[in-house]
Amino acid sequence: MEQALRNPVRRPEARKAVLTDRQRFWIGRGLTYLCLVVAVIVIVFPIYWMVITSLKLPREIYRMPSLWPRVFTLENFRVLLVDKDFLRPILNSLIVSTAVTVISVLISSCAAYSMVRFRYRFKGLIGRIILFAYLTPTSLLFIPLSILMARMNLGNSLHGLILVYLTFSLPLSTWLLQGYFRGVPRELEEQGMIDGLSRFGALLRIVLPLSAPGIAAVSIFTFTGAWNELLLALVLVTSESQRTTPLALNYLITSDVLPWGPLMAGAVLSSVPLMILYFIAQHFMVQGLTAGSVKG
Amino acid sequence: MATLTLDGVRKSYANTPVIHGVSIDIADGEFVTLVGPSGCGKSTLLRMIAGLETISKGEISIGDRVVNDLAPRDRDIAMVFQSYALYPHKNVAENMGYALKLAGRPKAEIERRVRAAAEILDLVPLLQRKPAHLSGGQRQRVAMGRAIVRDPKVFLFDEPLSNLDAKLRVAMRAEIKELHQRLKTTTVYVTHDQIEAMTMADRIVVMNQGVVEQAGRPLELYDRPRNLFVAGFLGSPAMNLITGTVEATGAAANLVTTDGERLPLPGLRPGLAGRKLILGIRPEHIALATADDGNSFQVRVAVTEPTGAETLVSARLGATEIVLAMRDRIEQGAGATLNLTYPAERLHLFDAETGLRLD
Repeated sequence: MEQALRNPVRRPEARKAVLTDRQRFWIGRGLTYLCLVVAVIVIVFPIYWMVITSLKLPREIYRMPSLWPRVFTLENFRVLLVDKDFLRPILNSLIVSTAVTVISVLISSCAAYSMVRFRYRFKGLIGRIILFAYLTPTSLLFIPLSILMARMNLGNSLHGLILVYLTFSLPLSTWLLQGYFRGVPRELEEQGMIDGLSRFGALLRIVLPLSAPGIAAVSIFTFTGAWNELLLALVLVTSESQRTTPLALNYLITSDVLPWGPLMAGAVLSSVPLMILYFIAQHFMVQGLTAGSVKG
Repeated sequence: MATLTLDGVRKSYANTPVIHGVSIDIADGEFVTLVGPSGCGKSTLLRMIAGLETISKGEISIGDRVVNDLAPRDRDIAMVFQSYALYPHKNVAENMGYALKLAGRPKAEIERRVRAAAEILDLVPLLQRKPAHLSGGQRQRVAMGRAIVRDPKVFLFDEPLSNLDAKLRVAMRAEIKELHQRLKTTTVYVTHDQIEAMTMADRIVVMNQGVVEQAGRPLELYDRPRNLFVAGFLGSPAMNLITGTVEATGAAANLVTTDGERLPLPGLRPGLAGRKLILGIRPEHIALATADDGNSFQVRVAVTEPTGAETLVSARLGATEIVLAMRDRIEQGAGATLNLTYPAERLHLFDAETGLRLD
C-alpha cells in the first residue's frame, strides 16, 4: 500500500494523449495572450486613432485613412491653443473638477461617517433619499437645475457649475464612503478616543487614513465625472470664458465639416490630466475597490 | 492607581433598560472580574466605565472624581479590546506610544516608556513590526503593552483572551495575573469564561440580565452561591441542581423528586418539612459510599468520561441526571449501579420559588 502511494501507477491513456503536457501548456498560453491582445486592441485603438489623427495634416485626415501619418504636424495643436485659446477651458475644467472633488470628499466623509456610526431619527430615510438622489437621471434634472441657478444668479459661472456637480457627486461619494467606513472596526476609533482623540480627531486620524484607498477611488470617480460632464455645462454655461473642456470641444464643431484635427488634438489635451491622475492613483484605486468589496 | 465606584448605575437604550442599577466599590489595586452569560450587560458596563457609552442614571467615580460627563480620553483609563484594536497603519512601537504622543510627551520619554513596557512583555524584537505581521498572542501582548505604557488609574479588559486558542489563553491568563501583581493597577476584567474569572480575580461580580447576582471573593462565591443563577454559573461541570419536596421522618430527612426518587438530606435544619426545595451538590463533592449508613443513594451510570486527572460520570437517578467528578478511576461502565453519598456541609439548598439560598 505504502509502495503504491509512493509510486502511483501511470495510467496508460496519459501516454496515448494526442498532445503532450508541454504542448497543452503552450497552446493555453497562446490562447490567453490572443484574448488579451484582442482586448487591448479594442481598448487602445480609439486612443491611438485619436493621437494619430491629431498629428495629421487635414488633407491626410480627409483622404484615405491610414494607420500612420506620412507627415507629422503640430499644426492642429497650434490652431487649438493659439487660435481657439484652448488652455482657458482646460483651466476652467481643472478648477471645477478639483473644487467638486475636494468639497465632495470633505462633506461626504462627514455624512458617511455619521450614517455609519451615529444613531439618530430618520437615519434610514435620509440614507434612502441620498441613494434616490443618486439614481435620479441627470436628464430629468437639468431644466429645474438651470432655472434654479438662474434664479440664484449663479447661471453662466463656474461657481454655479460646481454647485450643480456637487448635487450629483455628493450622493455617490457618500454612498461609496459608507462602505469603506463600515470596514473600519469601531473599536479602533474607540481605542483612539481612549488614547486621547476627540470623536472628530478619531475620524481624521484613524478612519480617514484607513479608508485612504476608498477616498482615492471616490476622488477619481468624482473628478472624472466632473471633468467629462457635457450636458449640464451646455445648459448652464453660455459665455466663452466660462466654458469647460467638453463644452469647448463641442463648440469646435461649427459647420457640417468636422474639424477632425483640432478636435482630436483637443481630445488628446483633455485626456492628459485624467491619464496622469489615473496613473498616480491606479495603485490606490485597485486596492480601494477590492478593499471595499471584501471587507463589506 | 485609584478606587473605582459605581453607584446605582443604569443604562437604557430608547426606553429598553439593559443595566438595572449596579453598585460596585472597587478598592485601589483590586482585580475585579465581571462575569456572566452573553447579553448580561457586563461589556456595556465596562464601556460605560470607559466612557464609550453614556450613563443613563447613577454615578461612576474614578478616585474621588465623578467621570459621568468626561470624555474617554479624560478619564485616565486604558482598555484592552477583545479584537485588540491595534492601529493597522502604525507599527508596534507607534501603537504603544500613541496615547503618550497625543498627550504631547517628549519623544525621548515616549521611547523610554514604550521600551520599558516592551521589555516587560517580551515585545522588544517586534517593536518595528506592523500588527498584520504578528501572531494572535503577540497582538494580544501589544494591546496590553499599549495599556501599560500609559500607566493609567484603571485597566479595563473586555474579554481579551477570547480570540486566543486554549493553550495560549491559559498562558496569557497567568501572564495578566502576574502583571497585575507587579503593577498593582486597579483592574476591571470582563469575561464570560468562569474559569478565567475564578482564577484571576480578587473579587468576582456575577451579572445576569443587567443586575449583579452576587459579588465576592471567588471561593466565597463558589462555596456559598447566593442564588441558583450563581450556583449554576460558577463551576465546570456545573453544580447538580435537583428539585424535590422535603420529607422528614424522625431524625432523617429526604428530598423526594417528582418521579419519587429519594435523596438523603443529612443535617437538615428542622422546619423545612413539606417544602419544595432545590438541592445543589457540586460534582466533585459526590463520593462513592463505602457503607450504607442511610445517607447514600443509588444511581445508574449512563456515560463515563475519563479525562485523565479525573473521571466524569453522568448518571441517572430516575429521570434526573446527576454528574459526578471522581478523583479515583472507576471500573463501572454504562448501566452499572453506583452507591453514592455526599457530606452534609457540601449541600446547597435553594428555595424552589425564589431561587435564593436557604441557610
